[in-house]
Amino acid sequence: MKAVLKINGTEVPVKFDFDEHLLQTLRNHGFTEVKNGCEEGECGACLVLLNGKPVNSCQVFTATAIGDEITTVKGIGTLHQPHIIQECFVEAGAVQCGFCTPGMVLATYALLQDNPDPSDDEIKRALSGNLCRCTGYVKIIDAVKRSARKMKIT
Amino acid sequence: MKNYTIVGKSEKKIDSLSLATGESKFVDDFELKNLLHCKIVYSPYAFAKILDIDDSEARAMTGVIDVLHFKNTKHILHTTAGQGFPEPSPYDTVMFDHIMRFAGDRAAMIVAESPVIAARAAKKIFVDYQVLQPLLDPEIAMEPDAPRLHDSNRYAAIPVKYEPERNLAAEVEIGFGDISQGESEADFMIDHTYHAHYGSHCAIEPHSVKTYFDEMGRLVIVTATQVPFHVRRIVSKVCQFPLSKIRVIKPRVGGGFGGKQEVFLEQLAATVTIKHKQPCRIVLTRPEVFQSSRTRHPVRTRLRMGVKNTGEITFLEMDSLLNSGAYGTHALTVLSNCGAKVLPLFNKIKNLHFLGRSVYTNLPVGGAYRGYGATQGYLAVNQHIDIICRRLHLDLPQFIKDNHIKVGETSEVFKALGEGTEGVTQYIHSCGLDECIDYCLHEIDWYNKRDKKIRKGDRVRGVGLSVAMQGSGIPMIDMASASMKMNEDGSFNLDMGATDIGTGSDTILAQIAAEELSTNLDKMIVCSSDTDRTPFDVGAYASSTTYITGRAVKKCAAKIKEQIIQVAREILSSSANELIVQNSAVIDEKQNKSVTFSEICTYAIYTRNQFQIAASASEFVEESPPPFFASTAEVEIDTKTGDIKVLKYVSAVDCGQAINPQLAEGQIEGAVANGIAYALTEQYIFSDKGNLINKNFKTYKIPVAADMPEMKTKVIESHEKTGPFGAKSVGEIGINGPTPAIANAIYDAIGVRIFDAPFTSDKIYRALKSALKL
Amino acid sequence: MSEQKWYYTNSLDEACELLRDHTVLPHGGGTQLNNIDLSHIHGLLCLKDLNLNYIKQTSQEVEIGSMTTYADIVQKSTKISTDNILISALKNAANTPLRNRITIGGSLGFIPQWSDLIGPLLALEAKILLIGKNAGEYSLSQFWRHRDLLKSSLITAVRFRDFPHHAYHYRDVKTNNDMPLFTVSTLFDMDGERIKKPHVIIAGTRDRVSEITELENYLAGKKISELQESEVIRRVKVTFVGKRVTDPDYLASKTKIETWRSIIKAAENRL
Repeated sequence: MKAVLKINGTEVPVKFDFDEHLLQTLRNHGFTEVKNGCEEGECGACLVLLNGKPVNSCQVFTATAIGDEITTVKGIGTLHQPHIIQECFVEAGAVQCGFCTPGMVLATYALLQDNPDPSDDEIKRALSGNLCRCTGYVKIIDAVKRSARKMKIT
Repeated sequence: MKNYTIVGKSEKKIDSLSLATGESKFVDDFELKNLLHCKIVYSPYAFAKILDIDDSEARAMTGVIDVLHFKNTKHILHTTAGQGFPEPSPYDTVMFDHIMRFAGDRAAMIVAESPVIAARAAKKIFVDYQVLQPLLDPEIAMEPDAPRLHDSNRYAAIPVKYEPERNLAAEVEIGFGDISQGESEADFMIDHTYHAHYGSHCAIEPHSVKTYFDEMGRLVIVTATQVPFHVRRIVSKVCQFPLSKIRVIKPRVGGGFGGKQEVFLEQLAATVTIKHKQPCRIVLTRPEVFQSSRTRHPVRTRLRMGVKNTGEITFLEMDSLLNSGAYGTHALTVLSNCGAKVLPLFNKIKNLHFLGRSVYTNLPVGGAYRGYGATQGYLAVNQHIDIICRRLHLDLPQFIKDNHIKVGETSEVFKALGEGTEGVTQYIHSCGLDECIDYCLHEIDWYNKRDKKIRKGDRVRGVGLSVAMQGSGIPMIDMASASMKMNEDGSFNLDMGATDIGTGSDTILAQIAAEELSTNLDKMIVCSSDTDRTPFDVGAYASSTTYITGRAVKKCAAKIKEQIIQVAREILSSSANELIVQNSAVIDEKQNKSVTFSEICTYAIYTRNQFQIAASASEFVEESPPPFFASTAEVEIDTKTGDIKVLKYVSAVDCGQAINPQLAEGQIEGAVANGIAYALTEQYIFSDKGNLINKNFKTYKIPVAADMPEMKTKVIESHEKTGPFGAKSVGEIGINGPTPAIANAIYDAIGVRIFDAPFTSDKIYRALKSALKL
Repeated sequence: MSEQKWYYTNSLDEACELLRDHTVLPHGGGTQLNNIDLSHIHGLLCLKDLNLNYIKQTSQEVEIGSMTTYADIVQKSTKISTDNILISALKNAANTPLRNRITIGGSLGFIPQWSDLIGPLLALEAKILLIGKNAGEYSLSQFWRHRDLLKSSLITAVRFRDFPHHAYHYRDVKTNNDMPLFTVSTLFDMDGERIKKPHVIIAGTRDRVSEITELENYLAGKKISELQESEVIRRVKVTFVGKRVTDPDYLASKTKIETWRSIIKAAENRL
């Protein structure tokens, strides 16, 4: 199948199979910042925003994402122009191997859009779809709190 | 404490912004044209003989390039354990065998033009299995009528006990003093058996490898590995391909924890590329990782101690039975560490005996896993001393303080038991364990909670303590190296074989170099690891990188510094002893003149007596200074249902001088989180026939953020005089704490001890019920 | 077999027409179809343009469109009395990104269903609305007894009476992102001090879902202070299949304890 997807604000022509998932389509077209950790909707490494909402791209048929706004971690900030959340993850020491980080950053972004001042519980609940094996989440939760503080100021 | 400018500072991890913005590349993020994709076909039976394989239907499918199996591949005995040469693990593996030794052993591999075709073709492979009676119980593995897993042509590459005809993958026995003497001196004996269970590393990046030929016809292996140099050596051997024609590149790696210290996919991809002259990709699915990669070795530990009424331990006897699974990867060394990393901690014991056996079973394969035997050993020992102290009404923390090894002391175990073979005598130069214990007691409010059984409705609380040590590399075996060169803006290339798998070793090694050179961290351009460009390093295991590679980097930087001073002397016309290096410059205080690094290197490259300021250095260590660790847990147990919740977990580590305290904390926090889950929710569940049932994240439960208790973590610094800027290791030790601390806390709460980890609610419920009947 | 195809439509009639072909499956957006073999179907019908993502409230009744995700049900819960048992259950179901995909209609269309959905819906005496060949309104139990109702038909909405109630939803999980081994959904009204119209639903059992009628009969008309733990526990008779993950006998014992606790908590929880 062929279609045009809206990825990070750009229209991207893509080719994909009938039952292909968005994760695969994105990775096949160079969006390798979307990681594949389990392909069963449990780890959150492939998390993207679909119309602003965090979803596991491994659980979305590409064919159903036509017309939707797809945002990957590069859509909110880049190496040369990082988002506050990305900087806060760095400062907090929340990035170890970094494989879960794109998903974590996007989950944080979605949370703070809805709720700029989340409680610890709300942070933990928002990140309940993202597995991290390196950090024990301590510094990730810290990074989310830092992000919330800094985003309020700016 | 020494005054450092960069060491001891929580500098930002140098690759973290690249990772957080998704720029960094992991293996599967490298684009290759004409890539071949593989799908491995696994044995559904725990033990079976392949009578025949019919691959004709698969081969006939459009897009299928090849099918590899025992009939068309080389049978070179090797071990997949990524260890130094000769490996201490037995040579008991070939790429494809006709005997399937566990449900998940590989029978064949499809090579196809797309992953979809490969997966489809995998269903068209018809294997004629003769199903055999599997051996699923390690306790009976050595019995005469037990099934035999391996032929007698399997062998150990080093002179150690290895008897495949008895399913014995490894055996270690050491002792000193006289156990019967210890028995006669004892007022009583404590004798218990503890079980540590299977566990999966669960690095979020699955095992991945890509291979291709470069424009010079050399085989490039891009792989998610902890051991690039061992990959090169093992692939060369198994594929019979010249080592000089292999280049191994380790890009960013998405976590390892020991799981990627294993070379079991690279040779498959290499075989495909060598045969078909086309790039090849193998990326495991999550179920494949759970079932067919490597695991924590389950260990049954029987521990016997004689105790005087004064609390003196008159003897210790440890009998460890390690279930190695179908192959003997790390079977000897993990087994050794059950004793070697554990028994020296209580060095006052005069009569000691340790017998360890690793046996084959038709179950998933054990391997390296953070903690590496120490985790399994401490699970037993920490509970045992808790039992002794309770029996004698002794204060457990004080008991530990009285009995643990101190600065200036040694243990006979160091000499008697190394990693697989005899060890190395060593004395302790630094030990902050008492401070670690005190911090943990204070933070958990120990003396107001221990033995108090604080109740709230049906729930009751308890606290537990555990302690541990680990090592810093393998003495007399591990070697690491670094090379550096200077650029004319005062920056430095730092090339290392050391393998950053997410730990931050690139950052802390750059900090060490920058500290030695009195320059800034951003002047370090780090490259790790590429077997063509970086010098040898054993890799990321055995908690070795900070200590051993750190020493190599410091030594290398010191050589660079000498050259810098030499050039500065020429520029400033100074005598050597008047020069100091500070803030990226060399200063002649007497003449009140200075010259910057940039000027120095520009001069060296362009002006006079031109040469490249460059050096390399390697380090080989004769000792392995242990870091020390204490932790306390507070748990709450529902006495009606057995549900357990860890409310708070406090950890403190003495890792010498923390090079980067934030990263050191992160190592402990991650290890503790893994340890808590190992203690409570992580377990391998098998069918009666030995098939792993819960091979995905839906059913093998690792924690999410909301599962974490309140965590307190402290880095207590000491100064290890043999370490780089006083540093010891920190990577593994934290995982040794939670299982015994939680077990002790459970006992504190409900007065029942559960000897089989994990401590699931149904086990606690049954324990509570049986206790009520007594 | 002809090439597999996706169908897109914004017309319910057209959707029903397409579903007359039994090898065309409706896809809501959830996760059920993602992990099954789709090689035998002709096509998938994308439901997202059918405007079935809504929550409507009419007098005492709530209607939730079948394409409404768990996250939307929770977030748009202002339209339903706050902390309705369904909302408190779905708040914790699956995980954050999955709740943004799983739809209420999709969950009802497949087996096994999310126990976090089924327990509360049974307790709320919810009805399922179908269009197509078997158009009509069905109770959940009717719907289950006749799985072929879904043939050539489409779930468009779930409807239930929204009234202030006492409720508690217990989910038995090992971690916060776990699928429950079982759930207990307890809901009742109070007539003065006396329990009225009690519902106790246990999901995850051998029968998948069990309404504990014997216990409901015991509870009806009683004051909370009159309830006896032993009498409640005695009436919870559920069995579990041999789940290796956890011993079935243990689960059976645990449901008894958690059911008693749920009743007490529900009494304290006026929603």
